[in-house]
Amino acid sequence: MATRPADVHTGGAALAASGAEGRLRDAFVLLWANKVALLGLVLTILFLLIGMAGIVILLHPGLHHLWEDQNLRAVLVTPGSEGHLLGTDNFGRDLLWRIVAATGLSALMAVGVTAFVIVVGLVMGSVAGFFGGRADTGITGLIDLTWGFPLLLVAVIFAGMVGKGLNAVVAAAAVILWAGFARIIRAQVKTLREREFVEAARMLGTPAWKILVRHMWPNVLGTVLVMASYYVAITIIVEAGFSFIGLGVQPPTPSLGGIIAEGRNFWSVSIWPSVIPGATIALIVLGLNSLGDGLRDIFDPRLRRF
Amino acid sequence: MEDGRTLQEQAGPPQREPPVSGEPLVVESLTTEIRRRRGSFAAVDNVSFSVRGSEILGLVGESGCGKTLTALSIMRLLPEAARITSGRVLLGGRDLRGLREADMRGIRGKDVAMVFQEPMTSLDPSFTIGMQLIETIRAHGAGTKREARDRSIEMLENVGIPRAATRLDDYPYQYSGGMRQRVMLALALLLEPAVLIADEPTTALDVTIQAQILDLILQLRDEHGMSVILITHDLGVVHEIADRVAVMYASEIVETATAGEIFRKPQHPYTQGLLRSLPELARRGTPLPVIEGRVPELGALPASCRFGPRCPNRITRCDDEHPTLERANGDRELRCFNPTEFELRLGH
Amino acid sequence: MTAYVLRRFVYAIFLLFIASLFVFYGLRVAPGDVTDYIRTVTSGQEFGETLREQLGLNEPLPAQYFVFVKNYLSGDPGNSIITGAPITEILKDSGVNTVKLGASAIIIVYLLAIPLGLFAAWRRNSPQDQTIRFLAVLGMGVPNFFLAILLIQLFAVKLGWFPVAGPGGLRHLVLPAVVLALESLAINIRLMRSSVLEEAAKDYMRTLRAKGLRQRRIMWAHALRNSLVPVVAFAGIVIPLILGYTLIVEVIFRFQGIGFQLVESIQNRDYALAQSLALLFTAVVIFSNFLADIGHQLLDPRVRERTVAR
Repeated sequence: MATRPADVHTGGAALAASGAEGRLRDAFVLLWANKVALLGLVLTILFLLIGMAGIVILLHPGLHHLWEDQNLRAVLVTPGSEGHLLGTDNFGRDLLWRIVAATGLSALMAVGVTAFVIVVGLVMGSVAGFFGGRADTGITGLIDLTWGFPLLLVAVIFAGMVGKGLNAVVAAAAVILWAGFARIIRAQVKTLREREFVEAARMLGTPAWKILVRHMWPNVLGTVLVMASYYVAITIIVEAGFSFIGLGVQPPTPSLGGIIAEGRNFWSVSIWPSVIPGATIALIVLGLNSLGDGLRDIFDPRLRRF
Repeated sequence: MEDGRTLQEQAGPPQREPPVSGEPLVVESLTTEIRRRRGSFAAVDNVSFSVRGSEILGLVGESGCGKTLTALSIMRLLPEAARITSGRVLLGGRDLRGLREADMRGIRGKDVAMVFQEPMTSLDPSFTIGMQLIETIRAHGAGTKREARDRSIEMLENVGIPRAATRLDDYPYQYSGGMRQRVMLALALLLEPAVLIADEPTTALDVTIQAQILDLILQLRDEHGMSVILITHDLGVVHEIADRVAVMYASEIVETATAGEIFRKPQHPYTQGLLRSLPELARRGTPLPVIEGRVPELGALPASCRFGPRCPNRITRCDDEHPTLERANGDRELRCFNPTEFELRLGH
Repeated sequence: MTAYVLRRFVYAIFLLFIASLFVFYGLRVAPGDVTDYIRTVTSGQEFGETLREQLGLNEPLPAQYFVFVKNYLSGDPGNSIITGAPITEILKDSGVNTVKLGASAIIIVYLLAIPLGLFAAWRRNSPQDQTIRFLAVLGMGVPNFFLAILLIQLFAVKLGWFPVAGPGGLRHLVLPAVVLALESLAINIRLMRSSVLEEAAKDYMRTLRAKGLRQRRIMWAHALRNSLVPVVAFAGIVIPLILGYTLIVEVIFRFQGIGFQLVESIQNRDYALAQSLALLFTAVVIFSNFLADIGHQLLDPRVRERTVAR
């Protein structure tokens, strides 16, 4: 590892020797010492908890009334009012529950897309890096092809293909984001391939998939965690933007971007219906990015976003 | 300080005459401290030596004994955590410690130059060799662009770079390790400095290239007449070219003498140990003798003799007192209570 | 080097071809077509059929692709079905607007990120450095469309310094360009800072100081030059990111560039127009990536040499 300036953490070296389990434990100790990353962890856990609550009230029809019920006599109520901690929107719907539901939708979508991206990127990158040759040429070609295209452009074109809605942005994120991750994994697997323990396993005739699963994937675990937190953040921002311009989640289903867009029309009466979801996104993304940065400093300071 | 002694309680430097013109560089009681989490420690402790005109002084010791920090203190290029706390560095009679940073900048590269251990990474990869040479001359206002270029070509030829005029426009990655070290020497000698500090100049190179670079240093010394401080952990290197040797151990100098004296009659047990572990001198077929133990950590220096714990000649006094550097016979200085004669059984 | 540029150019053309296939078939197999939209506003089934016939929508797909490419290359991709305006006009106007907007944002990003990153690294851990780093983290967290409505509210509605929306002169460009630049600015400041710090820790820095160079020259010539390499390499990511965000920013500011028109045409199912716009957008992306790639090659002597040798 190259020498890093003094203010960058020196965790990487400390982690090099220990196994995957010990590594995770050490990582947690180092994370605990990094206050910004710890704050990121807390925000992320909070996000996931609220997200789970949101998924429940989105999927359980008996709970829809929480975010669906209108009350035209209490529209655009300011936050802190009785019964409405965060106020209401222009239909008098409770903003707190709408944001919880929207966070649930964001979390479900972002975690789902990220899981897909990680799995595909991991497999493609491993195959390309481990086997080399024609498989590598093919996969690298595919990576180069996809990776320079703006996610939002692809999402808009998909929206033209399959119609407005969450599908377009989910599909676009899945199609574009794997390439960056596969590229990182490919480079790491290529390096790992030259290490003694992998050479030894290969000489003993261990099958390739076993080497990958047993010896290589535990070593890229850190990269997976770091990039996963970035990808969740990217997906949330892109989905929110996409819903904001009206091509994503369609009303009345609540989405963070959609609530901001609706609230914007009533800005002269109350700014809260768009400021609160905006701040929510900012906190979620800030949390995920800080967590990702902290994990990166621990696992691999040279890793870059995207 | 961790070892509980203050500077005043430590022995002063050996009595020294005022600097004479024959000694372009005199280091007097130089102490440089490193700030660590648990306090500050003297990584260069009360070090005094001088380099005479056109002399090659070998500064020898294991890694971590403070050689490089001594050199960086002279250059005033210390890392952030290190600080000179006392002593003087006299270059041609002028104390470098008292200079403003701007004046010090005018000295670096012009009056004292330095060559580093890693030729592969010591040059800026994005600038051509020519640009890096020329900017040095220009920074000291020593000539027009044209003159600087001509001077650079001349100097590259001087250090044995073939086709220097064209190689000037090459980037560092187009040079081999040995060639880069030649470039580093050219860079250091561009402005005819009075003193050249070479910090492990051959350590990173192949053995054959090492010999070439050492020969080159000798040859350049003869041509340009500068004094050289050659820092190395390898007594073999010193044996090749040094006129005088100063041996450092655990932040302080333990023995100085002419090269001949050091190799013929080393008196400090540490110097003797270093000599015994030279592969060239060991008896064939027997394991290479090593000095048992390790250099003590900066924070854990014994208040008594610092080499004591590893010393085969230790007597009771060594555990109670810190020996001072005393003038011994002739040109020798020694920091030891119980020096012994050295028997070197040469291998064949 | 010339060979390399040529090779990258051929690859860019190849990418453009793949993209045109994707754009064409993607927007052709879409559920419904423009006749659905027109039918809802005008008469019934028969009119729709005649229109489909007229527009060639009943031809086999490869034939339609051929016609699409031919029309595009001959400079006459037809008219917008909704407004009747010639597509070339829309492409030209929106293209100029988007390039203006994108270029302004990119200029803002690099003009500020490079000196700020260098400065932050130079004054590492000073209050200024910490302020810059805090703002950079914040800039990466706040979604840019949210920032846009905040800025519009403050600078356009409350203070009236800038227009709320629309394309126009320089004053119309300021807010959208700033919004567009912000996230990439934040990313690049961080990248530049860490890149400078990485360079500052390298061995050659000590040589430069030992040569007697001024700190200013070491920072602004040597550190800057070397830390730019990763920053320029990263432009290959930053530029698509900025171009992608024009889709959102143009919609918010009703700035009639490619992004605005593209979203509009897709909302209206005006696929002929959408195809042309998407293709133009892709071409802009591919061309900027091409430029970023060449820039990276030019900056790093080692890469430069390798590509010459190849």
